[in-house]
Amino acid sequence: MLTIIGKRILVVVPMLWAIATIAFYLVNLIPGSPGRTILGDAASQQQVDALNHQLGYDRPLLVQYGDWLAGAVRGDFGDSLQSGRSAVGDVTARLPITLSVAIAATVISVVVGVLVGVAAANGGRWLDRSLQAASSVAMAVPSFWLGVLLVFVFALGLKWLPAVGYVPFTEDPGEWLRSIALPSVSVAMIGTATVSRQTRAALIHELGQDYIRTLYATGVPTRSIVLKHALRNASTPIATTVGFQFIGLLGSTVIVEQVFGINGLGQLVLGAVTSKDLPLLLTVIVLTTGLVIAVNLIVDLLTVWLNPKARRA
Amino acid sequence: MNTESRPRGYLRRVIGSLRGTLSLGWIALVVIGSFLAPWLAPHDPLEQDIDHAYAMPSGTYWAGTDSLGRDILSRIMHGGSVSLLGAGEALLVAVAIGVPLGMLAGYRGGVVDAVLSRIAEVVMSLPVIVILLAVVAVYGRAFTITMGALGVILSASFIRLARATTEGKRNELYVDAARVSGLGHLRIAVRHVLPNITAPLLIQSTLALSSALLIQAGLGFLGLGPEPPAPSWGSGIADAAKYVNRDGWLMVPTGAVLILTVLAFNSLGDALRDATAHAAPSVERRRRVTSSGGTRSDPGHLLDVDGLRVEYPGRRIIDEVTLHVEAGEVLALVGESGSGKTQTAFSILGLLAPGGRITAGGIHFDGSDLLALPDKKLAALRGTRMAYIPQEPMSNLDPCFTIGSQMIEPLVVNLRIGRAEARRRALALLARVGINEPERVFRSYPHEISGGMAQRVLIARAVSCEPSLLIADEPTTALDVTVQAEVLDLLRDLQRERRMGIILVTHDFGVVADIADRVAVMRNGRLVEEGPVGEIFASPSHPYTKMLLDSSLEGREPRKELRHV
Repeated sequence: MLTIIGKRILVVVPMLWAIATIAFYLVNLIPGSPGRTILGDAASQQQVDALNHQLGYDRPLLVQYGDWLAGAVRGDFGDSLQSGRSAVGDVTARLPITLSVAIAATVISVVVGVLVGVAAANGGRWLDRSLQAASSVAMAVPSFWLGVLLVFVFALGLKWLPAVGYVPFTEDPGEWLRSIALPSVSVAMIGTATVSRQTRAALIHELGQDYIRTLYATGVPTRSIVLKHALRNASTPIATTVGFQFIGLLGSTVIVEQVFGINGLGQLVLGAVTSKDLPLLLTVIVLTTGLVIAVNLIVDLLTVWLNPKARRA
Repeated sequence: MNTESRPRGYLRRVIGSLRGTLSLGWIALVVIGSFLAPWLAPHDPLEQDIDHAYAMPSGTYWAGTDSLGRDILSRIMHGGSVSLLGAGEALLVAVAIGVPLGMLAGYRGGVVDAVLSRIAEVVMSLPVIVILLAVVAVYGRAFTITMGALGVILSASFIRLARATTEGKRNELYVDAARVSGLGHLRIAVRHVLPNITAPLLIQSTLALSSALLIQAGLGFLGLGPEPPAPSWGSGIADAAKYVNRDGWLMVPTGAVLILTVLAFNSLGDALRDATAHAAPSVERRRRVTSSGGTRSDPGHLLDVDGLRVEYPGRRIIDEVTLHVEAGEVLALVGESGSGKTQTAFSILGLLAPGGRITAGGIHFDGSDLLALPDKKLAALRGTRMAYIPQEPMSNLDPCFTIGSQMIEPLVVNLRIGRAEARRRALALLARVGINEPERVFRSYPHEISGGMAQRVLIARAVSCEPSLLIADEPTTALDVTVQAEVLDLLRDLQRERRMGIILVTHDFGVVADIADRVAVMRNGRLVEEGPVGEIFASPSHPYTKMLLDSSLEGREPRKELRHV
C-alpha cells in the first residue's frame, strides 16, 4: 500500500509542474502589463515601465517563469496586483468557503446518489424507470438555475433558509449549515444523478455474479446480500465516479456562489479576471488544479484500499 | 461483422426508439427555431416595451416579457444560435484534436501512447470553469476563442475514447489482415478502425454537446458570454435571477429550453447506447413460479421433483423432469453441457436466473411444497435444510470479504449463535474439510488461496448448518485431477457422517461410480433414464446413456452434441 502511495505521488509531481507551466504561459498572454493594471489608465507609459522594471515584469518571460516556479515550489506564488497581499493568502482565505459548499455537495451526492441507485436496482421495474427518468432530468438542470429556484422557494417563499451570505463554521455551526444548505443542494444535483446511475449499473452487474447466487443459497438475507456484499463490490466504480465528478462540482460551486452572494473562490477569480490580476489568477489555477489532483489521488488510493487484491499487493 | 450494413441499422434503431425520436425532434425544433430566428421570431429580441415589462405569456408575447419588456421567446430563439454554434464549435475542436491523437496513441502504443495518455490525464484534471475564466481574461469575450478552448479541454475525453477503441481493434484479425495486404497505416486506421468507433464517438459527442451547453450557459450567467444586450441563454437566466423577486415566471422559459435541450442531448446519448450491443442492463426481479399444485409427492422421499418444466422468455429449458432423493441417498444427475442439470438444481433451490420460471410441475421437499412456499419461507430453508456447492470455486466467493467472514455470516444468521461461537465452529469446519492452517485461511481473502482450497471452503460453508439435502453442481470439474479425488472423498465422508441426501450434478461416470447410489440421465432438458447405479452401468436401456458411458470409459468428456443417437 505504501509503495502504491509513493508511486502515485511521483506521478502527481510532474502533472502539477506541467499544469503550472501551461497556466503561467496562458496567463502571461493577458494583454497589458501588471504595471498598467496596478497604476490604472491615468498613469503615463514611463511610470508603468518603471513599475514593471521595479517588479521584474520587464525581464524575459523564461527568466520570470524560472523565478516564479522557484517561488511556487516554496509556496510563494507572488503578490496579488489588486490587494498587494500574498496571492496564496488571498486564495486560502476564500478556500474554506468554497470547500464547505463543495464538500457538502460531494457528501450529498454520494449519500443520496447511492441510496437512489440502490433503490433503483432493487425496487422493481417501475421504481427503476421512474428514478432513471428523474436522474436524466436532474443531470440536465444547471446548478445556477436550480440555485435561483431554491432561493425563490425556500428563502423568498417559505423563508426557511437565508437567501444570501455565508456564516463561517467557527462563528456558528448551525448558521453555517443553514447558509451552505441551498448552495450545496444546487451544486450536488448533477453529481447525485450521476452517482445514482453508476451505483445502479454497478449493483446490477454485481447482483448477476455467481458469488451472489451462492450467497443466496447459504441463507444470508437479501438485505445483507445487496447492502453488504454487492454494494461493497460495486464501491470501486462508484468511488471513481465521485472522483470524476469533483471537477464539475468545483466549477458549479464557483458559479453558484454568485447566486447566493457567497464571497468564495468564485468572486475572487471573477475579480481577478476583470482586473487582470495575473499572479492571483495563476495562483487560483494552480491551487484548484492541485486540489482536483489531490481529490483524485485520494479516490485512487481509496479504490486500491477497497480492493483486497490490490491492497495486499 | 458486416461494417456496411451495421451503421445504417444502428441509426434506424436509434431513430426508431421513443427516446431517440423525442430527443431528435426537440433538437431539430431548437435548431430550426434558433437559426431561422431572424425570420421566425415574433419580435425583435432587443425591442423594449416598458409598458409590458414582466408580462405573463399571452397571444402577443408567447413566453411573456422580461424586465425591459422584451419578448422572451424571441430572445431565446436568437440566443439559441449562439449557444448551439458555440457548443458545436467546442465539439468540432474536441473531435478534431481528440480522435486523431487518440487513434495515434492506440495504434502506435509505446512512448507515443504514454505521452498522449499523460497529457489527456493532465487536461482532464483542469478545473474547466477557472481555465475558461482565464481565457476570457486573455482574449476578452471573444466567444469563438472561449468555446475553442473548451473544445481543447473536452478533447481529452475523446483522446481516451479513441485510444481505447483503436487499441481494442488493433489486434483484431482483420486489421492484421489489412496490414499484411499492404495498406498504409492511415488507410488501415480510416477504413477499419473508424467504422468501429462511430457508435462510441456519437455517444461521447452527445455528452460533450450537453456539457458544452451547460458550461457555456454558466459563463453567460456569470456575465462573460456574448456582450449584452445580445441575447444568450445564460444571460437570460442571470436576468431572470436578478428579478426573481418581482416575477418568478422569468425563470421558466429560458431555463426550460436549456434544460430540455441538455436533456435531449443526454437522452440521445442513452438511445445511441441502448442501440449498441452494450446496452445498459435493466432491472428484473427473480420470479420463480407461475404454476403449482396437482403434483405427486411420496412422504418417504426427502425430495420429489415431479413433471418439472422451466422456461426462459422464448425458450423451454426443462420439461417433464421427474426425480426423487431419499434421505441419506446420493443421486447423480448426469448429462452433457446444456442438458438442463444445473437449471434443475437451481429450480430446487429457487435460484433460477432472472427471467427463468417454473411453468409446470412441482417440487416437494421434506414435506413442504416448495413452489407454494412464500419467498421468505423458501429462503429460510436455504443454507439450513438444503445447501449448494457450485462448480467454479473462485467466482463463487465474494472477493471483498475474508474467508472467515463469509463462513461466519450464514452460521450467525441461520443458527442464531454469537460471532465467537460461529468463529469457533467455522475454524473446526475448515479443519474438518482438510485445510491444514485453518487460522490462516480464515483470515485470507479468496484471491489468496488456491482453487482446491476455495472449493473446500465452499463445501465447509455448505455443510456448516447441517443441511439434509446438498446440491453439488459439478463440484470437482474446475479442479486439478489430484485434488478432484480428494474433494470427492471429502464429500463422500461428509455424506456418510451426516446422513445427507445429495444431488450430484456431473458429466463424469467415473464420479458416478465412485459415490452415487442412483443415476438420473438428462438430455436436452428431459429425463432419459433413471435407476440404481449398478443397473445403469450393467445394462443401460437408453442408447444415449450407453453413449455417455462409453465415452466416459474412454476417458473423454462427452461435451459435443450427440444428435445421431
